[in-house]
Amino acid sequence: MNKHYAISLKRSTALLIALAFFASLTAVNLASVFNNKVGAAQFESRSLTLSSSLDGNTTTGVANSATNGSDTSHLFQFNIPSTTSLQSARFEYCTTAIGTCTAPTGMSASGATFVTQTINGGAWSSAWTIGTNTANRVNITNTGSAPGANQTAVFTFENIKNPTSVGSFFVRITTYSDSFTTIVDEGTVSGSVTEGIDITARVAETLGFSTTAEMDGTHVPAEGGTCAPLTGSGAIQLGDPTDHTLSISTAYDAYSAFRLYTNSANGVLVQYQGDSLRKSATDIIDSIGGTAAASAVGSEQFGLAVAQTSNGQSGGAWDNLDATWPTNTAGALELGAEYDGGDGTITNAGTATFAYDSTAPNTPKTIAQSDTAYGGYITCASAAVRYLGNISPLTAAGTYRTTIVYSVVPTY
Amino acid sequence: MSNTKTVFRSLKTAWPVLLAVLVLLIFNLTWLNPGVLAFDYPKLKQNSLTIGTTEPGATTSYTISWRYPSNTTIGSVRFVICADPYVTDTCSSTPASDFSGGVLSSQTGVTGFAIANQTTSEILMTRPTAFAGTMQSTYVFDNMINPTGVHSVFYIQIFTYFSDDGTGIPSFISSVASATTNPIQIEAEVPPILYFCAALTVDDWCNSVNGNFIDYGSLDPVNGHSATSQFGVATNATGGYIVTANGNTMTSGNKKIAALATPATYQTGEQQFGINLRANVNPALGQDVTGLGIGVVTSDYNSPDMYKFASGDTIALAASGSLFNTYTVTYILNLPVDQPSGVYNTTIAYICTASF
Repeated sequence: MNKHYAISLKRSTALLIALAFFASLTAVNLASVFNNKVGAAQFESRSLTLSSSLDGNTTTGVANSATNGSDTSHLFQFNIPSTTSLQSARFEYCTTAIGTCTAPTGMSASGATFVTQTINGGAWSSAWTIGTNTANRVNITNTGSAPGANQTAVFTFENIKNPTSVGSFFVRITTYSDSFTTIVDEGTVSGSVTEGIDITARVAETLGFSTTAEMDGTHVPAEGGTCAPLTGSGAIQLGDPTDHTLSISTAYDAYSAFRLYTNSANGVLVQYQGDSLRKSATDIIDSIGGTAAASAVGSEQFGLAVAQTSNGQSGGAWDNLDATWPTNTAGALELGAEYDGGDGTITNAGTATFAYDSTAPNTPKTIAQSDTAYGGYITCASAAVRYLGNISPLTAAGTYRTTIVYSVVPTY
Repeated sequence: MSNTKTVFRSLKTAWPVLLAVLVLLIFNLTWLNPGVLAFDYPKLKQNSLTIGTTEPGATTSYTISWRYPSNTTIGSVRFVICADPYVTDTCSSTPASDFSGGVLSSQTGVTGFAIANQTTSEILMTRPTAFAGTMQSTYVFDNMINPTGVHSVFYIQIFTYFSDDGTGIPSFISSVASATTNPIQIEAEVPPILYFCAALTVDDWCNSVNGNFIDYGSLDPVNGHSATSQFGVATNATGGYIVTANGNTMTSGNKKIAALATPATYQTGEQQFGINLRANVNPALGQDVTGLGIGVVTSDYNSPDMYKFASGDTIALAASGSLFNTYTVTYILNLPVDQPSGVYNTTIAYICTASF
């Protein structure tokens, strides 16, 4: 029994010694941990706003933009409960909110600089300066500024590289009444690095170009949202409406149309090429020339110009053709100066003017183009081209024909 | 088992080498050769296509132009026609064109290319791989056959390569576009044109013609008689025209005043009936041909003061189409004192024949 008691006492003593040792060790530890936090309060209404939540390897946008995680700004805002004069503060980036701080992978705050520092929207009584930073610590110092009770502090730093791994990170904010020793207040905010949502769409080179000589509402439909193509034949009978003959005493006209859209960023040319009206190798109705000129009845003339009005023509096509051709306008087609006079009369020396350069029939001549200063593209342009035919008494009898080919050259 | 161990041992020894090779491969593919690995592929700039004619199915020239966005080396370029512009996709359909006979007729900018291979829908041009600047490069291919079909938009996809044989990953790819269009075919008739009128007086283009009757009154063998009429002609007949004077001399029943069978001067007291088409002194009558036309008077009737009349004679002509000419015909009539009495008359018909 005594033996047992002795053993029990011996065990109890050992247990007490162990307990005492553990208690003293815990006290020492706690004292060590809380040595500088006696009376420390927690910041209220604290937050961290990142200029970009993308990872630190993303450099798509400019610095401090939403698409640049490599060069970001971090805005801290919190209410300071204490009114103690502050001489330093630390913003420590960690992978966890508490416990041993492990720096988030890849982040760098060593080059952080101030963007803003305010207290309750105004200036601190003395300005904060950047101290010695590390990869995950921004240290700032002050000669001594005491905020009012529960005033809102805002600090924004830039030149911070976000963590390079997706996930949350935490910033432990601590203010000191001296140089990073005696804690006044503290609090933790969090941020998160996320995958950017990459949205990709491709816009291919587009072009729609069509011509017709059937000037009615069926073959020249309304542009609509798709810039509907023109359809139908390209055949034109120029001359008297009954027998399609030209006259030395009357000028005759006829019309065709073209419609164009393209997303060419570097402009588009609308061109024509072709001979003048010709019967044979030697019998040709002279073209009116490359310079705009009025009708001269009784002289050989073949020319063309863009008409902006129907000039008395009827048919639904005219409701679906462009009546105005503005310059210096995005998405619009600009007419060449020699080819924009198709409206008016075609009696002798009438008001309409025409041009047609057939000196090199196989060489395209530009009749209209987009303005590259305004985007170069064409939303939807629908033009009526008016043709003029005059002959002289010497124009040999016969059937005269020409084929005019319109083409476009978009430059993407 | 022993073999397995040997292999394993060998792999264990060789893994650094294998790793190095793998790294080099990746390095080559992604850095040295920044080819078409990304969705946003490297594109050419200022790229365009100009077609000699946009008529469907026509044989024409294709001028393809672009510039490289950065300095690079180029050894080959492939052109592929496709109905859609998405160069990274498989071509949805190939327009019915024919590039198989295409000829590289001109090249500027980055030059030295020759066609190495071509099919109906594709051309590969190559050169020894060399540095290419960023200047605008333009290549003209002749003898290209357009796609058929009206208003057919088509794209030429351009692939450039570092290699000199069109192999490997393209360094740049882009599209250019064009469209076949409905050619505007204009037809007009120029009718045969003949302006011809005859009267005592006519004006330009026969706008006004006046009179057709000459009355000499009582004939006088001493003083003689004369008068004038006019006719005008214009035509677009390429073979020109002739005008003939047709009719009899002055007659009264079976009596007549003889016409001048050969050109002769005006002589009173003799039987004379004749005409000419000139300004005369004796008698002071008539006028030379006027107007912008090219018509002329035939020789027998083209001498002042010389007169003749032979029915059916061509008195005026133009060798080709002519603007309007006005001719003035002077008639002379003389008779001897023993000319039988009677009422003498005739009708002279002027006939213009144009050769179209």
